[in-house]
Amino acid sequence: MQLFQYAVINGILFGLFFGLIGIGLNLLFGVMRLVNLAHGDLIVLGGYLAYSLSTIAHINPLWAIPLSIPLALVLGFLLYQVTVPRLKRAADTETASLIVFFGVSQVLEAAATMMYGANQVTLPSLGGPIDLFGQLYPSSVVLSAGLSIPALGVLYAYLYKTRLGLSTRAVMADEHEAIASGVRVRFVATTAFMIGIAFAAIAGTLSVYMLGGINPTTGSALTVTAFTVIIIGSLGNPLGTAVGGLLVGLASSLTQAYATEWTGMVPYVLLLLVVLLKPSGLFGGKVRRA
Amino acid sequence: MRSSPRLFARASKVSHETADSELPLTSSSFEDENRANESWDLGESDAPLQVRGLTKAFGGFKAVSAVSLDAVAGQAVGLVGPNGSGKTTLINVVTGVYRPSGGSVTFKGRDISGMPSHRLCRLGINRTFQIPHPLGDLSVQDNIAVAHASSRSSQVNFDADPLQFVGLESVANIQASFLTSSEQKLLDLARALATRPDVLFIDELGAGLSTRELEHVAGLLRQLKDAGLALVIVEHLMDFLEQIVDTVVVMDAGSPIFRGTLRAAIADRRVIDVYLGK
Amino acid sequence: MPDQPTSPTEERFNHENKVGPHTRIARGPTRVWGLPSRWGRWIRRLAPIVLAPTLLGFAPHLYNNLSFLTTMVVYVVLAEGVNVLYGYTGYLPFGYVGFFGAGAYGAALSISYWHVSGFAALAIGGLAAALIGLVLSPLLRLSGAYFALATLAASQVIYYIVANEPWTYGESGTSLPEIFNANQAYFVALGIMTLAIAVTVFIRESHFGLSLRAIRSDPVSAAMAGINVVKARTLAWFISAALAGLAGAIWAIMTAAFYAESPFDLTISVYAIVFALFGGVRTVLGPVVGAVVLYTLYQYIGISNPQYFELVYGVLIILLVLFLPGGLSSLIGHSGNRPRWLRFVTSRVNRAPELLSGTGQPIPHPRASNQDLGGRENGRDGY
Repeated sequence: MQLFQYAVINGILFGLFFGLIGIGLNLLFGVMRLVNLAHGDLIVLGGYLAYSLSTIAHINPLWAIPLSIPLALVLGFLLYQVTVPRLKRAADTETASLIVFFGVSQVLEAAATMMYGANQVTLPSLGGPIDLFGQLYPSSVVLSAGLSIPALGVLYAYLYKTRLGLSTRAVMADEHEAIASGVRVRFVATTAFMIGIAFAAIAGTLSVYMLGGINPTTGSALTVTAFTVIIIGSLGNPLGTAVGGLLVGLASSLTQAYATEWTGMVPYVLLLLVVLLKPSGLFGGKVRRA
Repeated sequence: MRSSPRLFARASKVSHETADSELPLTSSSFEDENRANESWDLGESDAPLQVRGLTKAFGGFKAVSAVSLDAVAGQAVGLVGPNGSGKTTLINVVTGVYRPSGGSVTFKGRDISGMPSHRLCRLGINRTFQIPHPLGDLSVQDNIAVAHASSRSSQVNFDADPLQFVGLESVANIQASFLTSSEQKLLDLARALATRPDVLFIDELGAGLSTRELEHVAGLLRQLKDAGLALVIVEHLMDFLEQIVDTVVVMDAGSPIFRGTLRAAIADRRVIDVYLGK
Repeated sequence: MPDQPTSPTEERFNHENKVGPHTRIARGPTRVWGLPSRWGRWIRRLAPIVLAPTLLGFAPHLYNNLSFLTTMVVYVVLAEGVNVLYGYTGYLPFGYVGFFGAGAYGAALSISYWHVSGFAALAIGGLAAALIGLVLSPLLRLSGAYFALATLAASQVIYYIVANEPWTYGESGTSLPEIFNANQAYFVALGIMTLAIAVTVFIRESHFGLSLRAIRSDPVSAAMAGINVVKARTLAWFISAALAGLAGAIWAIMTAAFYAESPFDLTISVYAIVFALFGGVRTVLGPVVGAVVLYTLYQYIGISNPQYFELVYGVLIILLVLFLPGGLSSLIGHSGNRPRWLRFVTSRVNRAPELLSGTGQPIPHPRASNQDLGGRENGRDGY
């Protein structure tokens, strides 16, 4: 019972983080049908920024969060300009974007290996363990999970409380109708793309704490987990992504507690179950022509 | 009981698209009693394709409701009605894009309800699409070659090269995605003809064509009819239809409300109600 | 019209303008490589099947590193398998390695448990992969990224099962006796490659291949042209799976000792896809050239410094998809594979005879009323 309780709380903490890594991807996939396979590597890039701040500049790595946001916005803008207009002209945008962003992920992974080596890097702990319902959890994990909540809230407010968010949801629902209704699709899409990358950067700093450390290949695993989270929670639905994250977090944590050697398989099995049984996701009103 | 507001919304949408040659359309609402006595039981007939009581529901909404229709060799039936009255859905159900929710379709005495498209094609039932989707990566000629491989021996006396027939032979080697939209419509017709069908559904082939192209297409369809094909033609352009069809079926809100010649239809009270409102 | 000089297109149509129910409508050019069409067509069919294995058969005399050469040939087979599936159906199998691993373990376990001969092990490997294909065939209901990610997930699930179950020796390591020596293994791999090329030639030339291309263009229209869409896709999926299974089987026999990580390494999928795209999908020799060139490059820079090779192919795929989606072969090959800007030029050139010769009056051909209908460029919205 102790183990079960520990696993559930641990699952919720990780679930919040998984929601955070899914949310940026959801924005890109939902708005432009872009399959950003480099999402995990962009997260890891954010993690390496925090690592550099800590080891080279000797300042608190949490400063990487505010620092990485403007950097990510610029990077997102450039990446959009280089890739998206051409991808949108491809016969099959979805598959073409998948391959291109896979190329981007390989470049990032290679660059990370060249700069930081193939070994895992870690950050110093933020403080002593924290007591949650009688169990001790590392404070960095609790803090990271806690920071995911306001981040998700900000995106929710953007999508549902602002005019630009309304336009973004219009493009998600139907791009052509949105154009016909006078939505500046290019502007909306660029903004969504930049915000999506910024969320990856935020998750990046926290990922070093959540995962205990990162190495250049961490990115691919994070990408698959993020896709599982957003497909479970339905595209274009930030609340669904949060719930999807919690489900993946709980499933992984419980499997780790009771059948450790199968833990890595959990996101893959969940992904297969969802795409085969309910491709529109748990909260999907939107029918996907699959 | 159908709800009037929905009818109203659909019919008024149509009115934006009214062209010169169409009946003027405005919002309509009518009572069930207007059609309650219409029983479209066509009974026994020797038509090769017989649609009986065909129904297609999407959730609670009946897009097609108890429609019966015969397609007779050497004859053309026009299928008219406001947008959203279920004409294209009817074609989609008969040609295997959707499965019917009720009723039956028989072809030469054989039940073909819910049969997949490729099998219907090989039996001799084909169609054109309202918005043609040619096989864009393939050359025009390969578009025809693909379909021709599924052709069959048919009693229909039509032996021409489909590309030559529709007048696309000069673009045979061009990739289909480079055709203009009217050329794509003709290619769609040629693709259907290459399978040598007995029954052909034509879904708004005339929409968007110029006057001269319409004449060309009407001539083609008359030739097909004379050759012995059974045609079912969905169209809004009445002048165009008049040149081809023998009878029309007028549909509204998924059900047929009139059956007879086009002239009689234009004079019919119920049809006018549908198009003009009471 | 008969008095006017006619374009080659019209000539062929005048020649074959009466088409009965059983007439075969000719397709492809009437003269191939300057030879009369029937001869030319057979030469075009047989040349890649004969030439590629022959040239590679001499490779050990130039560079006697059989382990490298065999692995390269295995990648040629995998790239052709990706070509069959992705090139002809548009399904991108990101988890293609699942079939490779299934083939490797099918062969390895049949040797360990039943002591079958080398060729029987190959057949079992191919069958094992096709069987996995059968189990995974519901994935074909998906499309685009969902399909790609679902196959990736499926391959990883297979990996975890193989790695964690004791009877597969996934964790403890497989160790096989020597079935083929290095030289034999190379030539067996060449045989499998020949089969893969022959299958691709068949698909390119046959009505089956034309059907697949039709489905890729538009499944609904293809069905209305009489093609059984589900059957054709599934068949391509099985063919592709079996090729990967054969490649995995010969890899397992050649490698003899391995852990589950090796034949299920996701980079195998990735390389197969990149090699196929680099050379050009929907061609016969594109994937062969792609695999030979890039795997040789890998041999020189990748083994000692994998991150440099990763950087090179990462940049390469970005550039390829954005600027040359048809791969290397689109620079020389069939016009259909050329990028948009090149194809646009070609289409004008193809039309030139008709536009320049001024034959006949354009009525009733709708070209005459082009001005009514707008341009032929299907522009996309403003991104």
